[in-house]
Amino acid sequence: MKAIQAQGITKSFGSQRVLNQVSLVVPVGQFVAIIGPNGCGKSTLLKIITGLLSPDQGSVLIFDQNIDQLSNGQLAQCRKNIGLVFQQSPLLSQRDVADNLTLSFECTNIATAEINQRIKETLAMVNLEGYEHKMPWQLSGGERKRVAIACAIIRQPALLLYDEPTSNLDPRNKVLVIELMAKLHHSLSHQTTSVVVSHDPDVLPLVDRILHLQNGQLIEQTKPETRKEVT
Amino acid sequence: MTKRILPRSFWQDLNQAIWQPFWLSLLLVFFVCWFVAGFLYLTQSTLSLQTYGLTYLLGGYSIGLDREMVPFLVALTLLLTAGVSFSSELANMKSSEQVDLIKITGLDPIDYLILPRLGAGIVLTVGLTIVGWVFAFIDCYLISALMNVDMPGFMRTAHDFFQYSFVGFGLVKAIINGLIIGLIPSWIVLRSKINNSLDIRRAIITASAVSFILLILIFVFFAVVLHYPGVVL
Repeated sequence: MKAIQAQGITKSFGSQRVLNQVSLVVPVGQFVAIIGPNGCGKSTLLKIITGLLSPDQGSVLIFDQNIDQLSNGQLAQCRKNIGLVFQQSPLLSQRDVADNLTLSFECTNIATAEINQRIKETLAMVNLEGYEHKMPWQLSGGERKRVAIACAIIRQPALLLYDEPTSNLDPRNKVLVIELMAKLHHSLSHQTTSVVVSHDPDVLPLVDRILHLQNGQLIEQTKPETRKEVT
Repeated sequence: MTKRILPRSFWQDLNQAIWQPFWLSLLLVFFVCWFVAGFLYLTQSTLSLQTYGLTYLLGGYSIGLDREMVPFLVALTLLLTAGVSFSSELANMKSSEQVDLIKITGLDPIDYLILPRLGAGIVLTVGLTIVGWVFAFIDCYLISALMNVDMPGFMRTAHDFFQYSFVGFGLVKAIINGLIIGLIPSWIVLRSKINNSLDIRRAIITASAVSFILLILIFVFFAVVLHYPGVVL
């Protein structure tokens, strides 16, 4: 099974063509990096993969489901398998960290005690124990990024997407986030697929495959021979 | 995993959407009912009716003012406070990817963001319309008393003109106005493309203008079509 199958994706904003017939296949369990300079369309591609943007042409299959052909309810169901870490690490500003984490459970009947347990476990995974009742404006940039990662992983998604996860972070927080990405790819489940979109070369040692997005086209780059452990 | 009809945070969000604009709206409703409905209109009418010695009709006039003007003034006031606060909050959430965050977690932004605001719009409009009626009538009474109007005559005509159906119509108007205030600004902003501050401004202006026009059309519909169907039919 393929986690992502994108075929002939084209997207323009006004007269500017950002993606031109981009095709991408990511098998289940793989860790892929899509690199490229700022503004080359990496985030746009990620938003198209998640159905947040519609392509002008082309189709996207997530776990063999064509997201363009899904109803709103089916798309919502499909997104439960996807965790997306946004570039700006958005958090609901009037909600504390725990409430932000429970967004995924808003419309479920899971018992509150179980949700609270999941919140504790997830915050422990991102080294933010005891942060349940902090408000987003009380968090530093690095903490905010890790809360955003926690929001993405709390439902243990099969597909984890990161949009510029190390941008605007100081070196220490950058290392923390990269370590976390490596840990999550292996610890969430054996079948977790991860895609990181970045222009930061420090994330490359983690991945199985590198794709370079340039002039609206995806080009496969040399695969790192061995995966380095980040320390 | 079974699905809930309303999100877990619905009541908390509804509560917040009601109370956030409540006190300012109450102050403005008091101000508008006191000065526009009561002071401005009633003073002018008193001066006119004094010429013909008909000031005892002011009681009935006050009831008419309450019936027609207060729901409209309250709706405009709430469009200014609640409507604009809803649309600007959602525009900010959209520009900072918070709406995308909600979508990616598998939630429907309509259920999660619009329903509490829709509920708040209805509760605020109905509640403040009732408060506005009381403010405006007390104001009319006090102004009439200050202008040496025949007060027993005032109360008699007020009693003669009053019908319980006015309250019913007024509440129906308030509910429809509340639907517009809670739904239209939020809906328009969520449907707008927002990438920068200019888009935010454009979305809020469009949302406010469309809601304003709809409120006037509803006001005209009730005033003309329902009260005076002969004008149209």
